[in-house]
Amino acid sequence: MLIAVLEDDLEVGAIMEKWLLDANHEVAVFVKGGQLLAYKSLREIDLFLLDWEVPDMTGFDVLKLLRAQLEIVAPILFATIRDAEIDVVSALDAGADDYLLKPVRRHELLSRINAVTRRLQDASIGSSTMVFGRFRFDPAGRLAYCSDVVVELTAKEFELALFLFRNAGKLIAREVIANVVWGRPVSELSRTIDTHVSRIRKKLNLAPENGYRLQPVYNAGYRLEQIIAGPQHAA
Amino acid sequence: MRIALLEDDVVVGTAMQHWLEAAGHTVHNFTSGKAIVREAGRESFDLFMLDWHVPDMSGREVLSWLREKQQSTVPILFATSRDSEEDIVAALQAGADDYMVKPIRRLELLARVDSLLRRIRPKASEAEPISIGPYLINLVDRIVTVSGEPIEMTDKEYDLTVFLFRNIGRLTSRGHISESVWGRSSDVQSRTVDTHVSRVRKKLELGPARGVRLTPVYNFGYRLERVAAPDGAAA
Repeated sequence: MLIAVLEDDLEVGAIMEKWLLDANHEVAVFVKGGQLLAYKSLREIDLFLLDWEVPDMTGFDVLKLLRAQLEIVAPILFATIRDAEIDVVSALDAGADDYLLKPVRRHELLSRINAVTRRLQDASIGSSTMVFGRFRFDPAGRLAYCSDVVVELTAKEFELALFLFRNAGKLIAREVIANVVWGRPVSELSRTIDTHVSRIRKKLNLAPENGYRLQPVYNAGYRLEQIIAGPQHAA
Repeated sequence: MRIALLEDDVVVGTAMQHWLEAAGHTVHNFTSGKAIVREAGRESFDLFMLDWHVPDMSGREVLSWLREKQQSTVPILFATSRDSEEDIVAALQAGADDYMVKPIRRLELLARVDSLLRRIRPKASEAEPISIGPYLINLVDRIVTVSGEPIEMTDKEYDLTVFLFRNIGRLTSRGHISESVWGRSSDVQSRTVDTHVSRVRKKLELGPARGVRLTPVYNFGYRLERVAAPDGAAA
């Protein structure tokens, strides 16, 4: 995930950056609210981690802008020394998903990031049918179709397939798959992810003739690529 | 929202119940792990709030039971005096969505509960109409239309319809239905719930031809779900 951190204390910022990098996230640290917003217009950010008191615009101003004006749905977490109940409440009410008090502890931060991401993933799936080319997913009935034919998938296979389709074109790290689909650290899963990927590739026949290709990316994860059909009359 | 609260300290439990009920939630109090597990097996809730140290089965065990055995995706909030980072990480990794260290502050609790409920239902706005297939529910004027035709309903039938559509895809218990339609105090027979469900089903012609299905679940309750468009309809 790409995480944007707003933190004006350079030392604290560097430590958090290292923790997040070690957990296989991409990180961009900013010392001013305006910089973070400028960056946001260039890249799609998966999660925001905001300090409250920073120069020019406060973290709280950034939060309000992201939620109310820009209608950003990505998770937003606060990490601040402001511990008054009124501050916690105003941040959560303005749309923050979690609120941590400094000093922030490393494993707690990483776990809270995971918890928030997992929940958002669950919610956004909702229950309406989604169509991707020849493939169709109906989360309410847990049914997957290829060219209108039902494909039998187990619960985990279904979740994994849907997650890959919803993120088609992006490289999905094994850590993210482990967290979102199994809710467990990747270290506990060993070959499980690869086995499941290989099964859905077979069952759904994710091959160029169906418009998709599922690529393993060495040491990183997987990417589901949509193949844009070229002019057919030449073939 | 219907909240199941596990707290063995009666004074703390009662205080939290008052806070949550004053904010418009209904709260079911449990003082032992086994009691909440027994009830969660036959009733549905919108949120679980768990203390760690309680008699016979710890909150941590209840959490694993809900996530692993029941495959429940309901939000779970921990409220405990255990403040070590290891405990926080363990609970979050096992599937808790948030973790609060006691003593709990009232407004912060309410804000965190709201934040969790917002995550599961991002669009649960009070005034925005609910639109599913041919069904449209205008919450401001309390009118249900099917393909533009208004349907005549009693107040209770309307409330039941809103409840079922807001929870589309979820299995809800009879107790949960009667509480939100008739209120906690009224002692409604489960027969009454069934009769109303059956009337709503008829009036709205809930069925696959209209893209939904209302499934009764033996000894538990009902689930309204979307189904794939009938054969012959455009994909």
